[in-house]
Amino acid sequence: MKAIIILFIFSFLVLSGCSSLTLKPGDFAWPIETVSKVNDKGMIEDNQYNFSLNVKELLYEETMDSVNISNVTLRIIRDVKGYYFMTASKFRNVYVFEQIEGGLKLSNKILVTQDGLKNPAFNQRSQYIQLLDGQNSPVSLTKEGILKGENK
Amino acid sequence: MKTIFRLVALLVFSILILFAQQKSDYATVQLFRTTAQSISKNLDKANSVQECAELNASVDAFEKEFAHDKTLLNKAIYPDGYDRTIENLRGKLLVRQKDLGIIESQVIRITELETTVRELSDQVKKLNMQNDKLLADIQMLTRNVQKLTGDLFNAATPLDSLHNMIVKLRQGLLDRDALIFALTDSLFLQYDKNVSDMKDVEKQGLLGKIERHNIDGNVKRSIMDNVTFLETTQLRGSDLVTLVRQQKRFQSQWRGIAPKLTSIYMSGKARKYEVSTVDSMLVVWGDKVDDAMWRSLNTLFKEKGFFVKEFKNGEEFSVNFITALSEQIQNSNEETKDTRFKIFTNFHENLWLTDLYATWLPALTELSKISDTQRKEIETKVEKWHSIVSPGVSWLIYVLIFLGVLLIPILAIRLFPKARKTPKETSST
Repeated sequence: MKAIIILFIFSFLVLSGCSSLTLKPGDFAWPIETVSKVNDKGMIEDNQYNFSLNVKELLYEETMDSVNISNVTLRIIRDVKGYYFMTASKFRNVYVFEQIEGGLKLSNKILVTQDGLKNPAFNQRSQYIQLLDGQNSPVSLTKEGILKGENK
Repeated sequence: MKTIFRLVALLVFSILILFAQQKSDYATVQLFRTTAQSISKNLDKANSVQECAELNASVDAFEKEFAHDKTLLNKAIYPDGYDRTIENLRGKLLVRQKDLGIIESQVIRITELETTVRELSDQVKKLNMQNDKLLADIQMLTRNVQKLTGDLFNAATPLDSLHNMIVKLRQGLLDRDALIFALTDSLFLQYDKNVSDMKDVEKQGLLGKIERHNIDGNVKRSIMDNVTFLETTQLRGSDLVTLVRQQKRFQSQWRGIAPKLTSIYMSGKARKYEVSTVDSMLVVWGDKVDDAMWRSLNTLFKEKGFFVKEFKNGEEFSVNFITALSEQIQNSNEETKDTRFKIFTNFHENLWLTDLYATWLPALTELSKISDTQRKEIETKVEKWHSIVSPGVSWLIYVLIFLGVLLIPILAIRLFPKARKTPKETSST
């Protein structure tokens, strides 16, 4: 019995020492989107938020073409929770990414139009990301998808 | 200065695009940045008090334009944001003014004028749109009414809705005319000197502003709209007199600014003939409004049943009207006293007092269409005609006389009954 108690206390001390430190709440929202041109190597470089990213895979996923990738203008915005939303002209989807070590991992792919976006733009709103496309009605997005009943 | 013009045009165009569709925050921020950069570049190049004042007004407009996006801009633009960007521009302007040795009060005064110019220019644009719409509505309504009723009705028909629109449009045209000249005055006032004393740079600057605020275009447009209004509405009487007065006022105001504009345009070939074009348009407008006025007056005589030989100008009006009055005085048609009295009464009550004496004669004299002597001569003739006509004996008078004759014996019987009874009583006894 004594041995069990000692083992329990030891395990408790070890586990509490190893548990991850959590910092909450956080606000990772960018006030405005960034607009970056993809270079011929499939890279984007952003001067405002100082990051660079290879987006070749994203372009291939959307267009099934990994050759004609330069001159695509990618629009990126980060929401309150820290998820990255990406899209571009002629895209049918908005891609939601979460940050991983040294890159981004796809979290969700949201189909917004079958015809392809014409002139997309993201706006930061308190509870969601607003997607504009010319004269079309704005679409409200969260990492889960299109926010129902909020498309104003 | 052309850069400032392009900048303002870019700002207006971009804002229109922004409002035409849903507003992108990114686009707003980009527009804010590029506008601030352009103003900043122009501040570096500013060389005169007018340019500084104009840039001061540009900063004011810029601040006002983006005020509702202040929170977004303060967040999105690091490190300056909205507030510090404006502060920096104002600081830069002050430094530039100091470098050029410009007195602050001068800039403030000219900035106020520049702000007035911009406000007036905006108002002119708004009135242009409003007047265009009203004119189109009036034309459509008139066409519809004519379709439904044939020639029975036209724009002169007193339909409430049409009349209200006409009144609104007339006021709109008047207001815009006044605004255009106020705008032009404010532009020249900024330079505080005669055009002949201005340096070439100042003349170029002023020319740029005149072009930017489209002074010629607005003056021409105003004349064309006034002519269209005149032709569409077919106004009469005092309404028409108002239009004639408006044309004269416009012409005299144009005469005030035309020489100044001519001096400014001397430097540029393209604009050299603008002033004479406006002069010609004003002559056309004047002729049209005069024709309408004489036509209206001729119609008035016909409608009121007083024959006067047709006239097309003040001289003919005076001669023909006096001739008609003389004929009545001399009784050339040898009419009876009674008929003459009726003709005079009809003329006096339905035409002379209501229209001619009250509206037309004062207006024609004021507009120098007839002289004071001609007016007095007409009035004297009317008085003379009045003095020689008197009412004839009408059937009513005969009826009254007949009744009077009947009444006398009845009254006599009533008043003296005893005088009749007394002899009877005497005979019975």
